Amino acid sequence: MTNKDMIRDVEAKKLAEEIQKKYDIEKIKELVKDNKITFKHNNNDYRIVLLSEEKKDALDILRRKKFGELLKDKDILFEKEIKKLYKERGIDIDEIDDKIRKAQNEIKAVNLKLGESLTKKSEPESIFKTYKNQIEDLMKEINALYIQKGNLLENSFEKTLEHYIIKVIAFLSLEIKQEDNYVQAFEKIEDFLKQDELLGKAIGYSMVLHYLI
Amino acid sequence: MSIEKLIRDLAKSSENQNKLIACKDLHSIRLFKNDSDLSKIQHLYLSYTLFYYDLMSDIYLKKVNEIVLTDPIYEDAYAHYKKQSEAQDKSKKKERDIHLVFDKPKKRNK
Repeated sequence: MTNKDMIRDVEAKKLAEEIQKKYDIEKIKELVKDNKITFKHNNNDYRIVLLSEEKKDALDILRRKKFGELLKDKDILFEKEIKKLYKERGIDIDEIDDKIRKAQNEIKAVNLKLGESLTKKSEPESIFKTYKNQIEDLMKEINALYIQKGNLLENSFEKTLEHYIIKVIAFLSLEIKQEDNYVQAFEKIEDFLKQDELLGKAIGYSMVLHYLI
Repeated sequence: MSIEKLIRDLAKSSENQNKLIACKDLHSIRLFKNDSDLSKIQHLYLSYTLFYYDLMSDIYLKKVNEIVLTDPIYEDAYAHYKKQSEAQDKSKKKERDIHLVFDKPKKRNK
């Protein structure tokens, strides 16, 4: 490959990234302009809306029902119990939390130095890059620790309940267009949970509207 | 690219900043279709729009190097430093005010 080919490849990649970015920003504009998100699935028009007070009450009822079910299941352990069992096997999850806190405090300290240096006119750019690299390394460390902790506690009572609530919120927020009106898409959560592709789309849009990924 | 990064890019754009200024000055221009019950993504977008509005004002007033806009890490670092400085200035001002209240009155020369 010649230098010209390599330069052309790099330029092509940059252009593709720019185009992708513009396309993604257009999608974000659509998500931001209203507090509802409309989408199509299998030739039907759907939308995700924020939960009304009535739907929040329905959410509460379903959450409490699931809470009771999970409480009766002896195979599902609380985070505290899982941490204790892991510790007996030599894995200290609290230590992971300590490492995260320490790294976060280090980021705060470097942030202050970087922030201050950005206000000084004569500061060379290399100083900014040095601080930036330190912060990036610390952020990578924190992300890795969060992933490690998340994997260890994935099957806890708290996480299982949280995953269920995310699905319930999507179920309650999802509406289908019938003639000129939108109505709740599914009456029973069990029917909603069987819809593989629609479930994924509904959860994705619901998270953007309610909690943000 | 993450949603947050895209929101930041959108909020930072000159088109968006002009929209905010127009919105502030001409109340007939709206940022959203809804005028209440903002979604989380709308909250985030609004926060970042105002964040960049303040940041660009600080660049204009030469309080910070314009290189700050080239990287979100620089932007966040400056915001963190600015918040800390303002908090320190505020607590120093409070101390001074307290002293003014409890200072003994100066003796007047007859």
